[in-house]
Amino acid sequence: MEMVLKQEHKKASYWSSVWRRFKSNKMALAGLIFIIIITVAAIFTPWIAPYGYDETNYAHTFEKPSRQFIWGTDDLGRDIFSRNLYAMRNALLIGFGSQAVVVIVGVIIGAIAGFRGGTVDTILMRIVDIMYAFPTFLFNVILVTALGRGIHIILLAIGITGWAGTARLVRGMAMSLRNADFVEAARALGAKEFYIIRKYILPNMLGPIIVSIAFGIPNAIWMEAGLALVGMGVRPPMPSWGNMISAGTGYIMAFPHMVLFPALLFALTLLAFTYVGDGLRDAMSPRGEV
Amino acid sequence: MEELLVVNNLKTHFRRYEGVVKAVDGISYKINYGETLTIVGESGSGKSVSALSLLGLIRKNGKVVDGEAIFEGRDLLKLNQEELRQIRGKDISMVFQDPMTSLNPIMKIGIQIMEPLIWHKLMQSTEAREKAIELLRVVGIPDYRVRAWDYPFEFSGGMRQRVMIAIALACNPKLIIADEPTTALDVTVRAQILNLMQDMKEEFGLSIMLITHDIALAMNFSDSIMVMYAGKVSEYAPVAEFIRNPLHPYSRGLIASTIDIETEESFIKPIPGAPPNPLDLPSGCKFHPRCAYTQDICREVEPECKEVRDGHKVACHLVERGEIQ
Repeated sequence: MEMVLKQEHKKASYWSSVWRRFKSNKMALAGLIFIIIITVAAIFTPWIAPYGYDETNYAHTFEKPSRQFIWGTDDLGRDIFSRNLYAMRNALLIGFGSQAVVVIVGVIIGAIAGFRGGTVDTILMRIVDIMYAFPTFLFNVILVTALGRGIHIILLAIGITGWAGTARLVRGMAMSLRNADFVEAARALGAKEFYIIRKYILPNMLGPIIVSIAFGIPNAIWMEAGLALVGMGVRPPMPSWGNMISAGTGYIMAFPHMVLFPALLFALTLLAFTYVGDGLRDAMSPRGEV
Repeated sequence: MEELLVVNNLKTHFRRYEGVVKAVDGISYKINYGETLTIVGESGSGKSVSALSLLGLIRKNGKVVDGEAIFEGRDLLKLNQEELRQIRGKDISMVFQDPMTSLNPIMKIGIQIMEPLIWHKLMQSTEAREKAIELLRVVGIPDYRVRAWDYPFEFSGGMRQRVMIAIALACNPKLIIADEPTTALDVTVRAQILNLMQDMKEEFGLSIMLITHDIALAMNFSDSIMVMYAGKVSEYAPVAEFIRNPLHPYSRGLIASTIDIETEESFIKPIPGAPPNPLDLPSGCKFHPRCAYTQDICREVEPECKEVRDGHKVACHLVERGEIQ
């Protein structure tokens, strides 16, 4: 009995209880597994893909799925499966990369506004309001037009147009945590300010930030697809789901497989991230559960 | 007995848009080694602020405008933030009102007990670890060796308050400021926590400054009582003297508004009215609009806190004139 109790106690850390609750949400777990698989596939794409993304084969245009081309070929005879792998790689790069930008900018701006308060807060939050009010999509089009259509430019553009929400989130948390009872208690017991921020405030912000990242990634991927649809996404021949779907729609009646596979994978990926986000939010929010 | 803390004429004011709030306006008291002083008062009477002022923990818009607080020969009010930080938690530590929110929710409680020891460079982490476990045993956490590495949400309110007390005791402080330590707890748990504090006081030779609005608790627990009203001291007396003969009408009102189990009729007699608006204090004696004995002088002249008997100080014209005894 003693042993059993001890083992159960060992398991009860905050993150392990988050994991336990997350696990019980089957859709979220399935989403996470899917994301892990596609992430691994994306990392090893150059070795996995049977063909290059720009490898044309004019003897095999518009082919239906076959043993040689498992998801068929497109109008230039390029292997759709390989192109999908590269598109996935780009999508994840844009998703994670843009969120890295969002988190860095959003956390810094939000934390400064929240901790400093006063005039600094007012100025920063007015900037955030302007960012919020400006149509994001249009802003992206302008930035991409001005800076070029490289994949890094696109992820940077999506990042710098998307941090306003994170900044608001972090500011709100910083303001409430700054005067939280346990922070004042630490101060009253002789903690240094820097230590309080590092050990008391930032870790307590982590949960909501992680959730916002989980929802931000599919948004960024979706944004790239939107840009691709108006011809401002990743520059062909480099594939992205957006430009593959947009190119494929022209042949949708005769060769639906050209649209079907990228659209399916695109939808599944967005769905997976959304479910994971949902699962994380539910797993992290119930405080005080015994 | 020797004096641990002597506070003279402490004034803490807060700047607000509407004007200046004199949260603490010239209070004086002392705490001897091993003694408990209880500060009693309603919400907003300045009792918490008077304690927080000593440690430099008041909000930015607040300022200690006058007074001195001699703690072991040093004036706390003249120290800079870093010097104060070294005193906080080490020589003077605090127990807070709400144990549900005063612990870091994502840090194991054992670590939270170790922290002050490490902050004040009293111990290395391995030694502090043993000390944390020992403290949990002392404050009566069952299965303390295992429970030390649990998170706050795995404890009940009473247990968390025990943990808070363990944290406060970690550095062997000389004075613990307990800011309404039992207010957020169940009635059944209150007595346990108070008994624990009493035991700790004897075991560690602590002085305690207890802040509460519960006058019955104050009379049971302390060596001296200070009753505060609207930022000022209305009565200050050794506990035996206070129980025998509470003089200020406000103190009497506080006592009358508790349930006395010995009387047949179980009526509670509340003090009429509400605490005054700190931005618009009444003239004269701050308590006169609610006082049953009000006379003209009360409306016009503010009474001074004067000693009427050995160590028994009261701020009331009528007591001074001998009309209340």
